[in-house]
Amino acid sequence: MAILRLEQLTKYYGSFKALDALNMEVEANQIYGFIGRNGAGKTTTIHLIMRFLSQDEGAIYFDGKRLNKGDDAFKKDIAFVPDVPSFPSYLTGYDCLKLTAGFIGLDEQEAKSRIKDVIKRVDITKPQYKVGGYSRGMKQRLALACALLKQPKLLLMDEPTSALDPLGRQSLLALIKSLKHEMTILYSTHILYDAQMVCDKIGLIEHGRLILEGQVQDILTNQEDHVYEIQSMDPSLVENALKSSPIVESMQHQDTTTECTLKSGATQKDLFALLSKVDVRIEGIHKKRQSLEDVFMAVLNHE
Amino acid sequence: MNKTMLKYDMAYFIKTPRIIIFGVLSFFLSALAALSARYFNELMNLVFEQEGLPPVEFDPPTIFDAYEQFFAQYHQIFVLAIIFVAVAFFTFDAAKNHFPFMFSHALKRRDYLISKWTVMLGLTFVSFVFGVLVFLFYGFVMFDTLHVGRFFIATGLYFMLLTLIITCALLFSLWLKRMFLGALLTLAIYFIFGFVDTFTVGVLAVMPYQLLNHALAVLDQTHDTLTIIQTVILTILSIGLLLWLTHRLFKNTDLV
Repeated sequence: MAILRLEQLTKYYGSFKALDALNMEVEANQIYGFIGRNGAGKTTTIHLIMRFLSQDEGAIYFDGKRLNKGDDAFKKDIAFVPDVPSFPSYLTGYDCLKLTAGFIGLDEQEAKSRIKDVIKRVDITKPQYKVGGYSRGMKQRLALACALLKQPKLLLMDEPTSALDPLGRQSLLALIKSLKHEMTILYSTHILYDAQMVCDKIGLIEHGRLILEGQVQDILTNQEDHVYEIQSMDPSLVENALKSSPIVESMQHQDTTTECTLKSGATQKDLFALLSKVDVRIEGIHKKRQSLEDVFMAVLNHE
Repeated sequence: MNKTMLKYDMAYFIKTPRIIIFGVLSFFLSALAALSARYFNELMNLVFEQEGLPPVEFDPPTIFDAYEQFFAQYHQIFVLAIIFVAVAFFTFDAAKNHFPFMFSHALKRRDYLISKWTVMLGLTFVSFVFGVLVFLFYGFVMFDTLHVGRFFIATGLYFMLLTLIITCALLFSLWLKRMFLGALLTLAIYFIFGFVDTFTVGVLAVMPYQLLNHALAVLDQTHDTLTIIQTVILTILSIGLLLWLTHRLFKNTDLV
């Protein structure tokens, strides 16, 4: 069942269309990778879900209920980690957590116990220090701790690893993976490696529209079926043969390797038949192992 | 009212030196009002002597000079400080991008507004009352006489004017979300009030900006009670209207 559903969501900034009738569904208890380049509409979408902004058209449904203007009750079950978290500099990390517990409505005993738990879980090393002295990475951890304090049904994360060092990033990714069993996560990022590591499903947004969506494994497998690497002593001859063929969508070569993307419907057998007619020694052919980044680039180039 | 929001807003003043600055300012203005009224003649003659001019015989100072001095100090210095502090406080969350921290939770925008307004008003009230007490102490020590009842009524009327100005600051700050513009418009209102309060014909006599004049009239017992009551009612209505307008504007404002 979809915990979050966006229907024809449209948002303008002046005359600029930031979201263009965006339709999207996030299933419960999965990590949904919301990927796209900067300015594609990821943060706007998240801000609309959180009701920081109002949409011009369309609707948002959370847990089956439509979110209306001025309706904030649903926020009891949604938490948000912004890309650049900001807290009053004169408060300590612990103060921020205590205030968050107050906003959530926890009693003192429950608040203490949950705060202790999230500090340990997210590894906030200096909760007694003022936030003004925190690095951006520490603020991101604190924002995540505040979000987890709520024990939400849906966690919205807007590029949460962008300010972390490699070690911090790895540990945060591991933490996000472990949260999958407790909540649904909408994970917005342009770091595709991270998305590939933690997400079950991804949606690629471009110019405010979802242009690709699916299970990460399916997307990678589909692409792998179409991209081949051909090693030969004379790649220019291979390229000449492929160039005029109706089964080839695109190709490029580097040194002795020609990378060839077949059109949909074309098979490995068709490729072998084509290459058998070329008067050049083929050293090897194999399917290219695709990363999410390859898919991202291919789809965006096609767009 | 949201208690957590109140705690959050109070931390802005308590965990920073702002509250101390307000205390010091109130003490300084109140003590200075009584002392400068008491020693005005001596101070003037000291200046004349340094300039080589003959001494002048002024009327002996009275507690009424101190009262006037008190309101002049507060209306020229304290109000300006209040305007700048209020606008900085009201635009703080927007300027520092703190809205996601608060509005990620089920916090109503109405509660946010009420908390900001209440805390700013509370701080103003506490520092103003402190200033009034300091003034009463120095006034009594310097002049050996006081009109406590009249003075309390006068300061109460003046506090209503402060409340109106703070409410204007709230409206402009949350509407424009810029400290500079919020301060500019609130200052414009303050100066317009100062300019038009000399016109007291007909309905203009009961306009909220007449509260300072009414306060001074209460002190020298030249006031008209009905006019004051009408002014107070109109001021309360104006404050209510401004708060309603602020809520309407803020409700439809994008938070990021």
